[in-house]
Amino acid sequence: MATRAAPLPQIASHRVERERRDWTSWITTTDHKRIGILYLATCMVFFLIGGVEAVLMRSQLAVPNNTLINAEHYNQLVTMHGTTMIFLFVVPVWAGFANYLVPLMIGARDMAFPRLNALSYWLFVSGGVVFYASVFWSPPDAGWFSYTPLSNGTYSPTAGQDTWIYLIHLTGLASAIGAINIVVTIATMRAPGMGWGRLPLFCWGILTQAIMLIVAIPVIGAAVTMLLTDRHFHTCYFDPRCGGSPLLWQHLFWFFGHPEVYIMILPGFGVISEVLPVFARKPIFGYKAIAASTVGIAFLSVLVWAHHMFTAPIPLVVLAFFMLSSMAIAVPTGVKVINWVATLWRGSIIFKTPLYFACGFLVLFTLGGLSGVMLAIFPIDWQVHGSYFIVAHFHFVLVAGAVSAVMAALYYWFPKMTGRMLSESLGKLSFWFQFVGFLVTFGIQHSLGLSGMPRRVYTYNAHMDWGTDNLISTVGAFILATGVLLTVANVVRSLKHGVAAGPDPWRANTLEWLTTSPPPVHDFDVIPKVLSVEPMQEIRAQIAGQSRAVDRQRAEARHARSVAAIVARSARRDA
Amino acid sequence: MSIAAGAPGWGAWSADPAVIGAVLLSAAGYAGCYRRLARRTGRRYTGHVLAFGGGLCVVMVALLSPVDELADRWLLSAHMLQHVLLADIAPALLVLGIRPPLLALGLPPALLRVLSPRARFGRLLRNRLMAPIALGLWAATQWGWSIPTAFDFAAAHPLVHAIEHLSLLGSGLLLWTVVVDPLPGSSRRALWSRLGYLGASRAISALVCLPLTWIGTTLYPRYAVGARAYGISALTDQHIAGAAMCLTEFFVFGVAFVVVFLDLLARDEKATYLAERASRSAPDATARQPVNAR
Amino acid sequence: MLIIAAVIFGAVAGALVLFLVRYRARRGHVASQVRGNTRLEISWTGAAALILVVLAVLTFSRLHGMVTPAASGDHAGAVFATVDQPSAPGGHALHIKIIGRQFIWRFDYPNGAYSYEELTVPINMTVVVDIYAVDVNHSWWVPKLGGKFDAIPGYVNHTWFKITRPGVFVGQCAELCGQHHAEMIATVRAIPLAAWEAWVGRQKQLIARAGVEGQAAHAKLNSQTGAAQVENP
Repeated sequence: MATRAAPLPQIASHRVERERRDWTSWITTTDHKRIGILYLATCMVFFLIGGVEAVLMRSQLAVPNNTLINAEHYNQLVTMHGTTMIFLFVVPVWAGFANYLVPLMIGARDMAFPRLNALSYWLFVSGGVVFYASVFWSPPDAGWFSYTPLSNGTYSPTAGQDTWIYLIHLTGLASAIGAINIVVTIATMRAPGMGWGRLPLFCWGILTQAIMLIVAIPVIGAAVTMLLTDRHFHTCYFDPRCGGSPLLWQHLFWFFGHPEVYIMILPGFGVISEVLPVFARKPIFGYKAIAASTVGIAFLSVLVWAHHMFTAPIPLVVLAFFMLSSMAIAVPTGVKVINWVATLWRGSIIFKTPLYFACGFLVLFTLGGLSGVMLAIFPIDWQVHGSYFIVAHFHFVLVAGAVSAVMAALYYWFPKMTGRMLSESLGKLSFWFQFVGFLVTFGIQHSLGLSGMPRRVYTYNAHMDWGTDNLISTVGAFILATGVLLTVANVVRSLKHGVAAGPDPWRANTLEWLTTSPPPVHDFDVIPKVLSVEPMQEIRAQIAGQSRAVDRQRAEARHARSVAAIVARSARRDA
Repeated sequence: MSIAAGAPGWGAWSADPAVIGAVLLSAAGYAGCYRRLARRTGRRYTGHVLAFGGGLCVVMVALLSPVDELADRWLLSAHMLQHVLLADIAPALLVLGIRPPLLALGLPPALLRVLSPRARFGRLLRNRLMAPIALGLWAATQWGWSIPTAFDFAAAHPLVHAIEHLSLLGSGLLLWTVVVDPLPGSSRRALWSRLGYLGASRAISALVCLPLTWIGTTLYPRYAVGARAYGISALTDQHIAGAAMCLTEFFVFGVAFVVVFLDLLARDEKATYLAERASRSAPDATARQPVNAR
Repeated sequence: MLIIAAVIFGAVAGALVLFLVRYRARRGHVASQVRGNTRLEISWTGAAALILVVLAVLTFSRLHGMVTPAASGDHAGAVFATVDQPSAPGGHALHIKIIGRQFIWRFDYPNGAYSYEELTVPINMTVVVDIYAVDVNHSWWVPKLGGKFDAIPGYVNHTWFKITRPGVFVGQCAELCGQHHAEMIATVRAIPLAAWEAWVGRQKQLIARAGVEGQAAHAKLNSQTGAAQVENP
């Protein structure tokens, strides 16, 4: 019998379980990557539904006195579109990316609370299902901010308004739970060496967003509960007929609603801050300034809500105060934009689709930011508030801002999630359709707003001269929709036929590119030690150094072998 | 909109000997510290001097300028502005003026010993309970002195008024000590709770200024029935008081938040760097540790 | 304002395009590893703040003329704006009460007359309006006569305008108020003072007469239905 071999030093391997792939494994999963993909897939469905609603509305408005959609259905579409895009697309899509990427980026094996993570996904889905169930009876029609008294029991008696309330509750709960999970994960599970100054900027964006959610969600939760009791239990928070105040609803809603804008856009800022340096082949310009302005924006945003209410009966002094505080937020935002542009300065720029979307974001978001400063000046707001100018402004911020960032993130991280590249040519085509379509759709709406067209009207008179602009806007909407469909087609095609990506197709900076694409269940075989804000740079240098050393060793070994062979041969000959 | 008879103009400065004495005394003490610091390091610290000097100027503006006279008898908004200057802006600047390395290298050894973590006072300052106590005092002075009865009573009685101002200044100094963390020896720790305390302090003062901004009735009888200056009605005066207070706190919050955040990042970076230098004995940077060892 | 915005946007977009073209990847070109520049960053933060301060000062310097109603009389141009001060200096102004309801605007005139949908006012007269709502939120907006002011049940909002030449100004409700929100049109017709006085007097008579006729018709209807009820219990 052979004696037992002494244990050799080796890279210890874990027990690898075969990944289950049947459908039950998807609905019972607590793996952060699978939950992330579930989020992203669900959000894509809601995005398409919301997009169809948008295209329907634009079709109705294409010509004056159109009868494609009647007033009742139009108001329902307005409400469903806004609510879907905000609560069922932009906010959860960031939860999806955060779920997938944050543990990978900070070098962790999962979120801090994996089962809580699954709970927040299923709460979000049930919110969406409850809301869309109302389509079969009577969808809500009081607008996405459901101003009272229009949304109370007298003026919106149907159950549609209640499904809206449940949607806010369920998705809100999902967001709050997810946010707590994110904060704990980032605070406690970073890889060794990853101090706060080495946290990727996307994680800064997500962390700040999570804290904002924890601050803002309870307020809207309280507000919709009050609305629910007003509607069904004869309380009187918002009804002026028994001493309530409709303005109270506006205050509560916008106290949540304005931070919500930053909840939607801050992760987008994070994506841009990750994408630009990778494709400019240089570090981000002013890491600390960008991180500081991210948290600065978030915390300033809790004291600007009344700029959504400039036309309400509010004392002038108060308007002045909210104008100044709103303008102040432009400072950190401006700092970010300039830092991003400076990141490209003296780079060596590689033109890939994620960079296209990031640059599109920069151009369009700057326009949206500038119109935002104009709106903060309340005498200007008096004129354009509630008009198509506002519609244009917030679509510049949320579509050109948040959705462009989502597109950049999709093209950037799709290879990591699936192991396959998205098609570059289809991606660039999709970008140009979206960019041009967006500008045509929403650029022209500024002028519609200035010429007096209010938002949320289902039709308009021919003699108002709004026909041409609206037609242009509708054509733009179809171009934009084509662009989005091209990306959807790209995703579907690349899932099967995309080029294999390998672990690090972009030669990027952050830890998620260390592991395989898609990553194994346990994310990393080894957790690396982080030495800077771009850990992959050192790891690549080190691997290059190691492989050079290995080459040298091999060469030496070959040399030694050949020497040995010669020696042996000559020895044989001698023998 | 004519100026009501008697409302003070720009020139109405007073010369309260107690205030001037206190300002001169602290300026002299600061100059001593600064000279010692400059001698030791051979460098100039203009930022520190500007902050401290600015803080003293703000105290003087609050207590000696026409603001004081207006606050006493005419305008609620002037009085609230005076409180913000005393409780928030002056302390913030003063504490910024003594941020590291001023105390560590500038204080005479005897005082340093008192402040050291081993001395009783130094331990007290670094106690875990210190921050909640500072926040509690901040809340007590902010809310307590805003109660209409207390507010009007203080405005009418000079001694109570002086106590009010001292307590506001004191609680402000304590709060900003927690937020700025100027004590010698603690500069390496990145205490993220500092941001939390800053946020909490703003939430506390927002509970004073937001109601003043929104409420549609006057709350302070002294100013509601008193003489009107500059044609400002009592309710508008109250709205201005609330809005000005909110706005100042808001800007202070924004700037302080970013500054403290950057300071924390720098401290965290330094701590990581020092820890890495200490463990430089292990040359393999990306230590390949086995998975199940975690 | 627009000029400032255009300049800022031009600078940002110009720099972006310039960098994209100038620093695209070429063989042998290595990106310079700049991590930031504190002095530059501080200076553009300061510049951004400065621009906003200028904008704020500009706004406040114009504000007084907007929110204080002008005196009535002959001035050039259309003057408008709005506020929380409901009375014009000198007290020489026309006060109108505007009431929003689903889905029509009602206008009450000082002499007790009222009208729906179309507000008739004299030219060269400062019109101060108090805006009410009886059911849900509405928003008063005639674009050519100044900004919009929400009509919220339980609150009163104010604005004012002065029209210097005869004409018709069209606007509509600007806050979603229910199904027929889009059909809640508001028209302001400006006519010379004498014609307006005649119109408002006649309007009052018409309303009074309609009231009498209405009561008669109502009584007749009541008696008829009463009879019907008797016939068909």
